[in-house]
Amino acid sequence: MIDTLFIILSLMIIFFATLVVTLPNILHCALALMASLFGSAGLYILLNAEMTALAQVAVYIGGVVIFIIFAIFLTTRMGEKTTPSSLPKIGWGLVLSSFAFAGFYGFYAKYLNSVSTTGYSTAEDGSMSAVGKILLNTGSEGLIIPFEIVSVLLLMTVIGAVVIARAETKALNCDSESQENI
Amino acid sequence: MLTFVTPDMLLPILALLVLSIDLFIESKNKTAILFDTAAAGVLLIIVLLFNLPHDQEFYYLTNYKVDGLRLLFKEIFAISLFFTILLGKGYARKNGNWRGILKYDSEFIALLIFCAFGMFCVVSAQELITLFIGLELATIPMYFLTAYYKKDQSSLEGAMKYIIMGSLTSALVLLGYSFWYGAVGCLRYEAILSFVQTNPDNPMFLAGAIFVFAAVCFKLAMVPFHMWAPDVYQAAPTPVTAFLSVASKSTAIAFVITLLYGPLAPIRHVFTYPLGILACITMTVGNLGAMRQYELRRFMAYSSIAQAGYIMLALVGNGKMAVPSIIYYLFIYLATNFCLFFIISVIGQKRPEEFASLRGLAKQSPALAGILVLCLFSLAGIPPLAGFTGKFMLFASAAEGGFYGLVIFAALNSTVSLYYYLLLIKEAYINKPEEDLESLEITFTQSFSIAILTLAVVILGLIPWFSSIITKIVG
Amino acid sequence: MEIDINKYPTTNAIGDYVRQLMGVEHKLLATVIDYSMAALGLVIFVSITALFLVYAERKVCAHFQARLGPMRVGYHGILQALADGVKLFFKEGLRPKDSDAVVFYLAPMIPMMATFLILSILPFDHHLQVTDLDGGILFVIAISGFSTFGLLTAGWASNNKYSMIGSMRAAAQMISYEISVALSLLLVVLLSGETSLMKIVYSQQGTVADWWIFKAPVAGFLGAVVFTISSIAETNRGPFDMAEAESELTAGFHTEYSGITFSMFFLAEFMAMFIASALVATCFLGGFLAPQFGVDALDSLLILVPGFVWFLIKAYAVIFVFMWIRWTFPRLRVDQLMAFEWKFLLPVALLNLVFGAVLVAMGWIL
Repeated sequence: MIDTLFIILSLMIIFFATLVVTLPNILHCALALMASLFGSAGLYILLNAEMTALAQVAVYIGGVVIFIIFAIFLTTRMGEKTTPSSLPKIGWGLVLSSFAFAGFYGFYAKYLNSVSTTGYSTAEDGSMSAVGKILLNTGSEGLIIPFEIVSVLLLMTVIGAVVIARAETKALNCDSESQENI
Repeated sequence: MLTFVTPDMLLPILALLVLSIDLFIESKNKTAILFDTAAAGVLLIIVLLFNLPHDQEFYYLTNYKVDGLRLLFKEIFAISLFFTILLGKGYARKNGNWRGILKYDSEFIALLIFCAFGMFCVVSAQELITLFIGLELATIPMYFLTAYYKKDQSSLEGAMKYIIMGSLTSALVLLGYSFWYGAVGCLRYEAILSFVQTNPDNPMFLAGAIFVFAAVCFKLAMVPFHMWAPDVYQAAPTPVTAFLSVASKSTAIAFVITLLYGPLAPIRHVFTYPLGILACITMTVGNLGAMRQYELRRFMAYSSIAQAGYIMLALVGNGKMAVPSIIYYLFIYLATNFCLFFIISVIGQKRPEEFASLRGLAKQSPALAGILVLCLFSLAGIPPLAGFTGKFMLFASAAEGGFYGLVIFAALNSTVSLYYYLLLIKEAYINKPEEDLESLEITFTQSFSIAILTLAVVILGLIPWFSSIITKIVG
Repeated sequence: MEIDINKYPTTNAIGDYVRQLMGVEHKLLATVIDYSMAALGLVIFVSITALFLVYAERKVCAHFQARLGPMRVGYHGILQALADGVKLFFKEGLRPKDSDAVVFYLAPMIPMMATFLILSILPFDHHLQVTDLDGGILFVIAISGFSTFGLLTAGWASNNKYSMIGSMRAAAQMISYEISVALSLLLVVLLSGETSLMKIVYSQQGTVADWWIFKAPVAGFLGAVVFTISSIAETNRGPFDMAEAESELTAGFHTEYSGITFSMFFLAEFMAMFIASALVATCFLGGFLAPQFGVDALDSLLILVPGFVWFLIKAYAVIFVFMWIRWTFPRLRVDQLMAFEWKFLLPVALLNLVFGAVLVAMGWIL
């Protein structure tokens, strides 16, 4: 049962991920990306990580992909096609990716037993309250330091993004030559 | 015991202070106020850092370590932050640079300070998540800062390249971490260390290490991942370039050292040969690339690629001298590079920062030309300057491990590098300018910084106790 | 590893019957039947609610404007919505020639999907809930982000400048106001210490004073107000209906839609309003719990009324407020809309969250 679900979800992820890089219309790529991310949210559910799955949907689908679509709206026209890859390029890509696949497959097939079985695995470990307790724990298992640093990171990103994206109004200009720039 | 992390905590507070000064204070010379406040604050942090006991270990909230090695790295970051702010001050005034005025001063300073805070986190981290977030915090501000000349197409292009390369790096780091987590089942250094001690040849873990070190090579601009560096160095405003070439590079080195001499210590020998080969290729490519440049910042990029090669060479030796020699060299590299960038900033006020702009410098300002020669000789490693001592220690550390072939190769490379450093000196002393030159203006900040840095370049190599102190702390 | 089906209990009679009939090993089948029944129930509920809401909107609007509204079809026009619905179903579905066919037909389904997903975790009564997610609040936030897709892609696929502008506006607005929605929901999480919607309802047991709107002094009320305002904006209703703005954009993102595809947008919009008010009822007004006033005679009477009736009464009371606001205030300009969120509502929501944290920390909850 769980294997069937896993295979279905994996196939879904792979199928849509392939569409992301092959579809000619870039908006369709973004939608396929969304579907692919939904698939990975499903994988998290299979792993009992409900919190991660929901965060995946909220952050990636409700945030990242929406902004990707915004960027597409602002930069392209409808019906504009991406430049299709030339045949030799596709060939090279196929060769390289099959090498990578063979490498990873061989690696995992041979060394699967070197994966640790400790760590977080039960449903309780992935629940919201457990995650919250780990994030705010000051003990050795706690992640309060990265949790706090992330807030600095976000603040910094907002400041930087505002600086880069801000339109230069006249009031801000000190020299006359930069006034034509908006 | 909170004093151990006071400098770290003061950094974000200082950034917020600068931002709020910009918000609330109305003044004609606000730019100067902002830069001076920031510089004073960073100076305070530097003093605090130097006053902390370097021979103790302290854990803040069990996962944030402060000890001698980490303090030394933090001092490097703080000092480079200090000089970057001073360097930036010159760019924020009118006629400060031919590319235009650097706007949004408070944000500029705040981003730099946040960046330094990220670097602090990288060295102090005791688990991989803090390490990763610190690394991001040290990198993301650089994307913004690289694009700070918004009017300049090349600036935006460089930032774009940097952000793509940087994202790839982050993805690689995370992929590596996921392998490590898969192998160990925990993200803390202690758990990783005990895991590596019991299974030193776990294939899953080694596969993860490959990814993480590929990412470090990106950060350090090691060959074959060095392509972004020249473009980004050229695109960024010069203070940012200086910060990139010193602090960012030191962060990547700190990243490697804290891992190799922390959780990965039992399998350090695995990395000897890959690092050695990479270091050799990197210094060669850096040196060959630098020969064909005519743009000063691009030139500095290739020069710093080569320097990264020399620094990585010390890690190959895998001996007691490795870490002290690297830190010693980083201090010297800091002084020399910043001195050079200050000279570039003086030259770049009215002319583009190119080799040709150096022409006539010896006549116009003999002192500046002399300092330029000192710095370049120091970078090339000519005795008795600091650069020589530093490079000597790096090579000695490699020799300690018995890699004499590598040392000879590096020494040859160092000789090659003398050629292109001399090219600059030739421009300054021999080549005649084509037209009459406008006079150079040097502000007080610039002359003050150049004086201090020159003193450091000369003296650091001559005083023997400096290196022995570092060895005592770290060794 | 096996999925723990018991974690998601089957609660309807048919499912239980199948389980008894076919033995324990057919839990899976029982679950499938269960959820199919639930989905069918939701479809019926959505259709009826939408009809009722359309009628209510028209009547409320009319009376606010001193008109009578629909009067002809049935008693006081009560069958008007049904007639409209039938009309919509028989209308021809048109598609502009140069539109993007796949996305054009995909777009209306996305808001509908989002609607059903959120309905599936709403607690209508003690046992009347499809599933009680542990992270219900996070689920609500996640799905409301997802529903933005429908509007965005609809505008793009229509290949019409008005649609495009409308969808850009809608998306920008929804993303912005989602922040205050999330912050005011977080306030409830903070106060109750629970993230599942059912547990949040149970955390308000007791008298009326135990509802979060009253229990946390000022913070609860402010949270409810911020949530109401921002969810009006998030559902693109007046006075925040920039995305449609008939007079500027000729209906915005659904200009090019007609017939069944249009009705799906229409339905999703009304259901979004219902969900928003249901969330206000659940998080701030005690959900399906009967109001108790501490007067024994009255309380024992009130408690006789089934929970889902209370739930619907509360939800419709909030919906009436929504309509009241819509037909009272003039439409905002785009810049005013953004300024209102980023410069007023968001700081208020943030400060309110901090204030709520102080209340919890000091134990000042009534």
